[in-house]
Amino acid sequence: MLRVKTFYLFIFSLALLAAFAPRAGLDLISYGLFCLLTASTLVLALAIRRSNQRLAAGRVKSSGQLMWNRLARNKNAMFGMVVLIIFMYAALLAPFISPHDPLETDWGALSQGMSSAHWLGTDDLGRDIFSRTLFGIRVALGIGVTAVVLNTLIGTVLGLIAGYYGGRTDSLIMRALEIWNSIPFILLAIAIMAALGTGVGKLILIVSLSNLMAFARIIRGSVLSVKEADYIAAARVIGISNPTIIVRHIVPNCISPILVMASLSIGETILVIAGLSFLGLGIQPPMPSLGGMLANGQQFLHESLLMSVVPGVTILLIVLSCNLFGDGMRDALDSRLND
Amino acid sequence: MKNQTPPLLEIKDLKTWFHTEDGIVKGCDGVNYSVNKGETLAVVGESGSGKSVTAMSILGLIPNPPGEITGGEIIFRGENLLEMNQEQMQRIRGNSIAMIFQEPMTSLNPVMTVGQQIGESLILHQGYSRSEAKQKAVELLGMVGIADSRARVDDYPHQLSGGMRQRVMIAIALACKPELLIADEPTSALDVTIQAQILDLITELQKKIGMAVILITHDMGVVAETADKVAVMYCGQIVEYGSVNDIFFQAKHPYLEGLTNSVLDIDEEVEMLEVIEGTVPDPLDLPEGCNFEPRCPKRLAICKSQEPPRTRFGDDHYAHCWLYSNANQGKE
Repeated sequence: MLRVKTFYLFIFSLALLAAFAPRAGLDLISYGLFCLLTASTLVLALAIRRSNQRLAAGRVKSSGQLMWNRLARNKNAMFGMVVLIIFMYAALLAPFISPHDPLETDWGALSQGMSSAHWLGTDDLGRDIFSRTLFGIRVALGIGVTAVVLNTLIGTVLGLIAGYYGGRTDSLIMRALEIWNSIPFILLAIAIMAALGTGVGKLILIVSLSNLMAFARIIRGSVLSVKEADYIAAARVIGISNPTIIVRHIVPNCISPILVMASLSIGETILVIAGLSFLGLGIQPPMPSLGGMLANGQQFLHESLLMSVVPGVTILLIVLSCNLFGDGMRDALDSRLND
Repeated sequence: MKNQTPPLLEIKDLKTWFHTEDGIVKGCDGVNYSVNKGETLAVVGESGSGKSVTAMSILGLIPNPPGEITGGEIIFRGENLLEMNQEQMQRIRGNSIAMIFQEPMTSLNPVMTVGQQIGESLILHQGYSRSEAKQKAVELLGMVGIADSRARVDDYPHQLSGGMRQRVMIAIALACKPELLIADEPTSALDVTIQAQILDLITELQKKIGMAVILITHDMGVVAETADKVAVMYCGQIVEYGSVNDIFFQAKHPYLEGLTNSVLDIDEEVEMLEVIEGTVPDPLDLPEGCNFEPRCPKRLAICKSQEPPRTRFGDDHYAHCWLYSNANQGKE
């Protein structure tokens, strides 16, 4: 069943890939990323096929399969996953599927409602809201995911080192993070933006450094319990060095809180970025961003509701899906510990 | 007997102390023992008597702080392990000296297959490739008596029973054909029939590979069955050391007498088990003289104030007790 689904997703991606091939020159990076996505659906489909064959051969289900089964039973999580996948496709393919240039102004159609030319209407400068939303999703997901990946990497490494080595290293890292955490986030963002100027790179930097404490603390906690396990002592007894023990024995046993934290914080991060953009600290106009569109739209609530409703609902959907999926992940991974 | 080859492992006056907030705990205080090639040394004693601390000291795995080896030597193949650096020790651990733990349920990593865990030390110490290591793992699983080892090698620990996990632990320990195996209560967590099988397996493989075994246990039955030599520990010190025969039939130290007496005789009917009076002293507040003095039925005046000397009864049989000391007899 599942194999078929992932496989069709691959066929669908391949078809899109072929359809957009003539226009690949529009945005080579997006096209390349989409090629990667297509390839990864193929890899996934093959991996699922192989594990199904193993199951058919009478092998016991691996923990990954058990986890997936639990996740697949969870309707909310599946809803979140499907919405996220749709948004992911929309984000990657935005340059090819958007009917208008998101920056193009149409002076003949200011603040219009829905029409066949502008599906979701236009904003006060006559820009197509649907196209702008597509690009906004692209920016939000791109920055959100990058920031969370960075955040997870840095936080996990700090937490691992603090938890595993303990003692003075631990105190040093955790105290430093506590001090860092005590600086109010918005103030920090304003300060950094004021000093370094605005830009996507700086935005990612600020957002990814803001949430370190939460990650480091959770990872440190689970490292503390895992490192006391007998199998870590056993690994030491066979002469494995500390870095190898961390990578091969500690990380795989702490991976569930990392995954849960990461999937839950994507939604939160997107919300933070939208918030910063709303305040004018995040993505700068004219680059389309969901938060910026929302901020712009609130001035015209009476004239054109679509200008605020469309980006608002999009943010809501993305964050809701992330949270639902993250919750599902947590349930699926937690019960792994129970059986 | 006198001029034979030097022992494989010799521990001389080993002192491992733990600095706790309440004071110093002498986990192991002046321990001496030696193991020859192919020999089995049983280390017996109650919980907290320093058996495992000595073993962890050999492997250099005493957590520091709070632990610290404050004195003594551990000579392995003519080299002092205490003077080695981390890198040299890592080459010895798992390769020349291996260890099996008490708790097979928790000693295997739940997220790695059995084969990967067996292969780990082979890849690390013997330069095996992944596929070679897996081949070897299948072979080792067969050797420790796991049926259908080719399929089992891809199993996760939770798919195995306790006895099978302990067999896997043994396979991991023996992967690199170590010269010395430290078995820390390898059978305590298993039921009796499996216990016997595991012990048989260890002795059988010991003969095959020709390794020495340090068997840490508190089961006198296990000792009688498997050991060549026995070291009896009490409060971080060896109170008596000798061959199995010496220990079971020529016991000198009152503690050991008490221990042997408290084992049930299957042919006799007894109403009440004989016990050793009192409890083990607080490790932070050990008696001044002999550690066993407060519980000893044969204590002398001198026991309270001075540590007992070592008295030899044969080449390899000695006890720390004032009862047999010439100095003491002179005084009386």
